[in-house]
Parts: sequence; C-alpha cells; structure tokens
Amino acid sequence: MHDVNATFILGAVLALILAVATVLYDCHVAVQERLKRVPMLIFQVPAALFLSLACGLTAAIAFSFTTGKGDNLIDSVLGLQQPNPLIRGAIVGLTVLVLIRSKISSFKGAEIGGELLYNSGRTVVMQSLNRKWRAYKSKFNELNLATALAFQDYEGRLLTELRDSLRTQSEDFRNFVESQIKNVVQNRPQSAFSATQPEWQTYYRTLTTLALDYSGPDVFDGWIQFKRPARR
Amino acid sequence: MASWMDVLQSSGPISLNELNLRSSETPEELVRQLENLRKKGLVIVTGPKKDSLSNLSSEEVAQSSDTMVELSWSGLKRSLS
Repeated sequence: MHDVNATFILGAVLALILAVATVLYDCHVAVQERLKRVPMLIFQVPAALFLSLACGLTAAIAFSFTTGKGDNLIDSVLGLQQPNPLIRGAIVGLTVLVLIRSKISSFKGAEIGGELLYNSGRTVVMQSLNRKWRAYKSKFNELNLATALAFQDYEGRLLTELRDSLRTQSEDFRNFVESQIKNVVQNRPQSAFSATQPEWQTYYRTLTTLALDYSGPDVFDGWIQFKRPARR
Repeated sequence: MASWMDVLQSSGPISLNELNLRSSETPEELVRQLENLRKKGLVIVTGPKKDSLSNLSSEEVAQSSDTMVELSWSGLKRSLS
C-alpha cells in the first residue's frame, strides 16, 4: 500500500471525478444511438448518477492499488508507468471502463464479468431516462392541450419554431423530421376544427409531442401561455 | 420517407393513435406490419387491445390512445446478430 498524502488523495479524487464524467458521457452516447433524440440531460436521472458514482468509486479504489511501476495487475492492464499520482489518477479515471468492462469469461455468447454488470446498469439508465422523458411529454400535453387548442395557428407557428430550432442539425436529421412533419400534417383530421373532438385533440397532442421529441422543451421558449412540468 | 420504426426509435414508447398519425402507412397496413414484427419479437404492444390488433378498424386505431407500442431492443439486437 501507499503512504497516504495530499497528492495521492487528489489523484484518487481525480480518478473518481473523471470516471464519473466518462460513464455519464458513455451513457449519453448510448442513449443517442438508440433513441435518436432525448432532449433531457443524462445526469437528471438518479440511476445515471448512481451508476457513474459506482464506477467512480471503482476507479478510486483501483487507483489506490496502483504504484505506477507496472508491477501489479491494474498497472499492467492500464499500461501505467507513471510515477506522478495526479497523472496516474487522471489516466485511471479516463480508462476505468477498460477495467470495468474487461471480460472475465463468456457463457453461451453472454459476457460474464464487469461488462455484463455495466451493460445492465446502462440499460437501466436508458430505460429510466426514456420513462422520465415520456412522463414529461405526457405531463406537458396534459398541462397545455387546452391552451394549444385555443392558440391561433398553433400548427403553423409550432412547425415554424421546430424548423427554426433544427437549423444547426445535420441535413439527415432535418430531412427525417421533415418527413415526420409531412406524415402528421397529411393525417390532419378532415372534419371542421373543434377543440372538443377527440381526433383534433390527438392531432394537437401529436404535433406537440413531435416538437418535443425533436427539439425539446426549448421549442416552447417564449410561449408564455404554456406551462412547463416540474422536473423531478 | 421515414418508416414508423424510425418513429419508434426516436420517440420511445408511443400510443397507437399517435403512431398512426406519425406514420405514412394506412392504419390497416400499420397494424399488419405491427402484428408481423410483434410475432418476430421486435415490437412490444401493451394495453387492452394488444391481443386484437388485427381486428381493429381504422377508426379504432385512430382512437387507441391506451395501446402503447415500443421497440424491443433485445429483439432487435437478436435479429441483427
């Protein structure tokens, strides 16, 4: 073991912080891959904080076993030959996923070891984020459907805001959203507008959800009549 | 034109009536494709009408706010591997 001094503690803290950041980023990338866009920050989900903190603690513990001489398992897995504890802490933090996700064994195609645990944790994070985002959209619709139905030219104004907000996105993404807008508008109810008709309510709800899905709650910035659900 | 699978991928779980609005397919075709993919385990349908999807009329599809549709990521992963 080591002499515990301030630099060594700082190295461990650095390993923890960088590991937390790395794991949050990894979860964020995984969410973006699966769901084209969830405009909700990953750290708003307690499961993400829990997973990243667990990995951060693993990094801090792993760091405490390093010597920087390449003479133990963690040093050799991470290729560490770094005597400076601060730099060593940073490397352990940034590469902690290599340690955690190293496969101990595999059984019938399933990885056994840290990879299995980590992937399960990441799936929980994604499900929890998806659930939270869905609840947010439902609540937003519940709070604002009546206002939307009473809003003059809601469809035109919302779609303009949505298109404007996507100007910085890639052309592929904008084309995808454009095709979505086309589908929705094509399915506009044929009957005369009535705020009490369920098909018009569904249509307005779908327009709102479409805007939230691809641009997030910010698309409603400046719409003072619209209420924002409290984020829990 | 984006398929409704892309919609599921981008929106997460969605009610059947909203999926119908965001889809370029007719309600009958949407339900037929849904049934087909559900049999393959790629799509999960929940709600009171989950077992009678193919019997739903266009009108009923347009009003199915209590039937939820979502992608099965494990099914998708299985089918791609």
